[in-house]
Amino acid sequence: MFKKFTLAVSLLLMCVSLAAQVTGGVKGTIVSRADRSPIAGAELTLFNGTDFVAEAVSGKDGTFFVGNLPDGIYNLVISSDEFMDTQVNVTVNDGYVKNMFNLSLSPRVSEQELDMSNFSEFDLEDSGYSDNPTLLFAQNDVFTNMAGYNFSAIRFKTRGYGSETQDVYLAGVRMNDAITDYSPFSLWSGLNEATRTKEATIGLEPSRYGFGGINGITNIPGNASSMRVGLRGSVLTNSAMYRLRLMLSYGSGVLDNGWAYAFNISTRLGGNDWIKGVYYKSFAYYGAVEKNWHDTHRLGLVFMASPGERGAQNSSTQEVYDLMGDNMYNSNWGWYNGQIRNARVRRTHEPIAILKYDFTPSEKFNLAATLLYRFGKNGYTALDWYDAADPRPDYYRNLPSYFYNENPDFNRTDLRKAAWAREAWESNYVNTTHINWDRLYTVNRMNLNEFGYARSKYVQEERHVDQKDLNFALSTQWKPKRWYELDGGIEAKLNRTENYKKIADLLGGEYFVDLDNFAERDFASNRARVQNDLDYYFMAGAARVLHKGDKYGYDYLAHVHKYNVWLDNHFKAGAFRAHVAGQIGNHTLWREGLVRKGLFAGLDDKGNIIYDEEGNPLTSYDSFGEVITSKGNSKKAHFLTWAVKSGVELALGSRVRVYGNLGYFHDAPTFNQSFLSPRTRNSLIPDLTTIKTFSGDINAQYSYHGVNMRVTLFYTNIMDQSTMRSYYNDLQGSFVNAAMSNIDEVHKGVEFGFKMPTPVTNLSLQGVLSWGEYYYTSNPYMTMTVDNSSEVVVDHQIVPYWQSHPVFKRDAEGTITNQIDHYQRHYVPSTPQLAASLGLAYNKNYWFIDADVDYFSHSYLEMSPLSRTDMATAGGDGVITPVEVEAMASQERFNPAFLVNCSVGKSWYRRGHQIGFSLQVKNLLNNRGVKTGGYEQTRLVDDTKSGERYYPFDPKYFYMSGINYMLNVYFRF
Amino acid sequence: MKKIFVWLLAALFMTVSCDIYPAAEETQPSDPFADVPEVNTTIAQLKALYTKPGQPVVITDDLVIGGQVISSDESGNIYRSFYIQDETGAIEIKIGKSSLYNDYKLGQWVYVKCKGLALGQYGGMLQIGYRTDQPAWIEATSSYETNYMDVQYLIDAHIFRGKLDKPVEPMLIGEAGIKDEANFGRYVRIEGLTYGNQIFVILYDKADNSTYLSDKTYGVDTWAMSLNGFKSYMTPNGKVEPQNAFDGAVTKENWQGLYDAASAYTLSQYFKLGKTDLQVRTSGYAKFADAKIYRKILAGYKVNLTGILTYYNGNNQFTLIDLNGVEIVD
Repeated sequence: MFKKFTLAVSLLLMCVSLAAQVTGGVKGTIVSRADRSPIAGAELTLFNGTDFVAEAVSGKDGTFFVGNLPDGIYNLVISSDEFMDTQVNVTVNDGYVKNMFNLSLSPRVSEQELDMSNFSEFDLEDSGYSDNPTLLFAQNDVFTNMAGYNFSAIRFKTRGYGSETQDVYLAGVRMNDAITDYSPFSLWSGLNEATRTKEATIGLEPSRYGFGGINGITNIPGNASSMRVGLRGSVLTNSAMYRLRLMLSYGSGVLDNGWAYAFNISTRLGGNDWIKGVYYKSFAYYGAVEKNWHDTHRLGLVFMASPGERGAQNSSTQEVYDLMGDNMYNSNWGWYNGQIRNARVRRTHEPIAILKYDFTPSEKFNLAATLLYRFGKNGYTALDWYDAADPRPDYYRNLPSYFYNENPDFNRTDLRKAAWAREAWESNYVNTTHINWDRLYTVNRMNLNEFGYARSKYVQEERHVDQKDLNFALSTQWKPKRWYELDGGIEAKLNRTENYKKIADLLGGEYFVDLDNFAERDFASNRARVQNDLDYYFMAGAARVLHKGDKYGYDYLAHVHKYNVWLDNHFKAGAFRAHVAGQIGNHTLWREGLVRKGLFAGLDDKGNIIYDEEGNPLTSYDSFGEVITSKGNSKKAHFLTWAVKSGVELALGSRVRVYGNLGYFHDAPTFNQSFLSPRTRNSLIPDLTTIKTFSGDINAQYSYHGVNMRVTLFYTNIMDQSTMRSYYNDLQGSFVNAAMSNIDEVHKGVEFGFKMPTPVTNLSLQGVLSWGEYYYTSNPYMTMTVDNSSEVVVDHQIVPYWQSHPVFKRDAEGTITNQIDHYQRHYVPSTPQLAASLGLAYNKNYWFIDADVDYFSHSYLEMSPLSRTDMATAGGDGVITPVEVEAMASQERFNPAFLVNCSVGKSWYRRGHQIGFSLQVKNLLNNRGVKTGGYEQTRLVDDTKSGERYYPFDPKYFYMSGINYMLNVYFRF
Repeated sequence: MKKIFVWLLAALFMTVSCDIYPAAEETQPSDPFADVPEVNTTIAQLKALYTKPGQPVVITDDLVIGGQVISSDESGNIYRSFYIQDETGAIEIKIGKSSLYNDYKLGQWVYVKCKGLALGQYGGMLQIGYRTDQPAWIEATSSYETNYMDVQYLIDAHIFRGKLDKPVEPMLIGEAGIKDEANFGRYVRIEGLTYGNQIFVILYDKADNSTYLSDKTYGVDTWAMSLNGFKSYMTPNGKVEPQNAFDGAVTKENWQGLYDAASAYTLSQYFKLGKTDLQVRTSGYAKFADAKIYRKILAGYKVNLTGILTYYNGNNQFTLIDLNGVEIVD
């Protein structure tokens, strides 16, 4: 049904030749080498040497035409989504239009699948850490092509940067999360077809969609006409994430009447072979229409979302993994009615609506304006309990190490109890190793009040982060001169995010009560102070009784307003290009508490002190003498942000390109980095300031006769970052918040990628290397608070062993001395600082076979600031010793890892239809000891026998899956 | 080509249909009220096995006692253990977990397989818990005769929960009954007590120097002192600075040291029945620690107490389960 359309040729000409009397040109038809079917939408770029001359797009029937060409020899580069890039030489002479007839492209047979759902969701919310790998997309880059795919399993971070540095745009709007700045790929996971087309830059490179930062911009157009034409479907199964993915999509392309429409639906279902409890029940939908008027005006409408739920994976200590004999053990689930039930389930439905207008009045000017609204629900369940035993199976008091430790100073000497605990784990006695749902239900059902109603002691809560995110973006390109182009844009984001939790499941009980569990211990007889909602308590005389779906605990709004204006000037002269860009913006953020917490009552609506029933004041003050309040608006934190960027590029002949970039940025901290304890109070982190980043890179690219290479040297210095990590502490029975400010780090290193043919026909060799040093260069300040206490545990103290720690000399007997030997640096964690891959790719008759070997090393464990304070290294006796410093402050480096991956695939073409499959097998050596991340617990063993020193709690780790496969069968009609 | 495709598709669906959702494996039963062991020993008989003070008895025979739960840790005054009682007596079981009242309800029948456990005493009160002796090559460190069990597997192997039942009625005892060893640990009611105007508590500073508060009340009119309760006692005029507190027992000299080491304090409030003193001992971690003793009691009104009768090194003591155990006789 999509066979023949009229011979309309869509031409997006940017021919800049001003020479008079030129009539020559080039025309032809682009077809698939597989079945000679025409290829619509192929992009053709014409170069004269390295000088860009013109650009065109093939029509529905594959035809193209480029006119107005002076005589000369041109290099025509043809690229299309599903085909390999092809170059041909064209000679135009005597002013004729050269007819190239059929230009055939070879299909790109491997359909790589990379999206956020390739990553299991790590359950880090109660640890305070985050782990967001970066995804690499720049399609035409030899480094990212390979690294993006091969390094994903190890959760590689480009140049050591966090995912918040990667700017991800959808339809021209920056979509990074307003609260965290994390990259937003999960918003459209499962919509692989709708978001397949991407335009990406690397590092500091400029983009026409936005100013960008240090880690590239990826823009997903997401509009109807950018979807690949035709009806496509695929069935995918894999063994590391979910069993089944079904996907269907259709793109109409631009119809004769100027309309285009597209849809994409998919579902991902089931569990996997490696991590029990991790499952998907996810769906995705996308619909788009677009109308094109004379190639001048284009209006598009898009509505999309990826609703669904998925179970999360938790980290455990090595002791637990060893007891289980399984590094993929997940403590989040238990048997319930004969089914695996996960306590940590992410449930989301966050639709995105986009209205986009494109105005292209001439070749010299275009403008795009987008209005985008993101909204909906994002919930994440967890167990909550009131005055009851910790239900987590791997709670440290359930482990053998809690009863026996070889170091007598731990005062854990009961071997018999340790043996009982070990036996329970190893034999999985009454599901010791899992959440015991039956017990939770039994406890709840037995806990009857005087009227016979069951008050739940355990509930499943759902923590919500529900965003209302309104965005407007305008970008424009103006080319007044042949040698000059001005790009620019305006961005505005208004975000209002409600954070609260609600009762998701009463687990067999009939009600729950809205009280601060552990504040009750400190304020045993003060009812007012233990209230989560003091106003309700004063009104009703008792804490709120909760049923399923009721909000409780905390409820506040995060407000974020961002405005940016940017301009980018591009110059070119011969083989030389340069750009200079600047951005200025204003970011404002504040918290608005919707409930009044008893502990932080603040002042009443009239500004008066609040008293409890007995006449004691509830209003409290911080160390600056300011009222600590939980309800109403906090102070607004304003940040003036600005940035400058520049780059130069020199083409040396047609094969080599040398270029470099510099940038300096003043960015605002994000909302989640700005508050001491956002769940409970309005207090901002002390000395909150803008983050300063300096970055530069030098690159060389080589491309000739199938040999492609890129090498990059980069250096980045990030200063004055702040973080806030909240983690659950069982002794406090609450979240402890460790806020750090003044964190500086340096990222420097080299990136290298190459691909080259081998003497064997159809066989090519490719490799990538990313080798860097990403380390801390400052000792930050830390402030520690607890959600259920008004006391500041640590008040703005320096963390003296954050950036490094001294390593002391040993004497002849190997005993540690007081003399410092050297200082050991501490590194940015959770990504290999050395990552390399070498592979062979074989292509013939639409078969492809790839095999590669990866090597990863110099990956580090995420550090806890608490262990690196003077308090922690001094221990109970207050004396800092070399032994204590080395034990508390040193940072774990993970073992290097070798991985082998292989993939094979084949496509069949007939009469414009295509059927194919690809099978990827990762980690062929079944290496199950590869740590991909982890963190130190912000917790100390302080009840030692000697009372002289403290010990860190065991760290927690995540591991990579062993051998796993992914099979994708796809078709196109 | 078609064949291959069909084959592939078939293979794919085979894999998928096996488990779109995680398969159910066999669930191990965890019915809390399943089979209970048969009782063959009374609590009094068990206690009688302890004959030599200072020498805990590790039970090596298949002794099983049974009784009803008479205490609760809900108010926090009893912590990590509970008491069971049969017709012959009562005993504390050192479980070692918190929030036990969620799993062991008042009145519920509980059975203890004593083999492998140890009977020991603390200040003259017999308890059953885990053995503290260690294999020969490990230094024994516990100063207690019997230990908390702590490990769930260990608890489950010895402590069995039976059916829920009505809570036990308290046993009414008089002056003689307070001193009767057979009543130690029992759920009792004592009527007609009067306030003794005397407390006992030892305060510590960080160097473990102790300050005794005894013989008087020092203005302490609460059952105990939580951390915050203690701090507010130490700052009677609201100022956090060295000052006299506790009726002069704390002076400007030792104030700072005690304040810096502030913690929850367990204390005894004295009551009298005839010529017998009864120390009502309350934990600083009890939810009612900072609750003021009713004014009428301080003024000399008679009071009836219901709770667990205890004993510590020559002193008759009493543990309230919660404030419902305090009743003023008008």
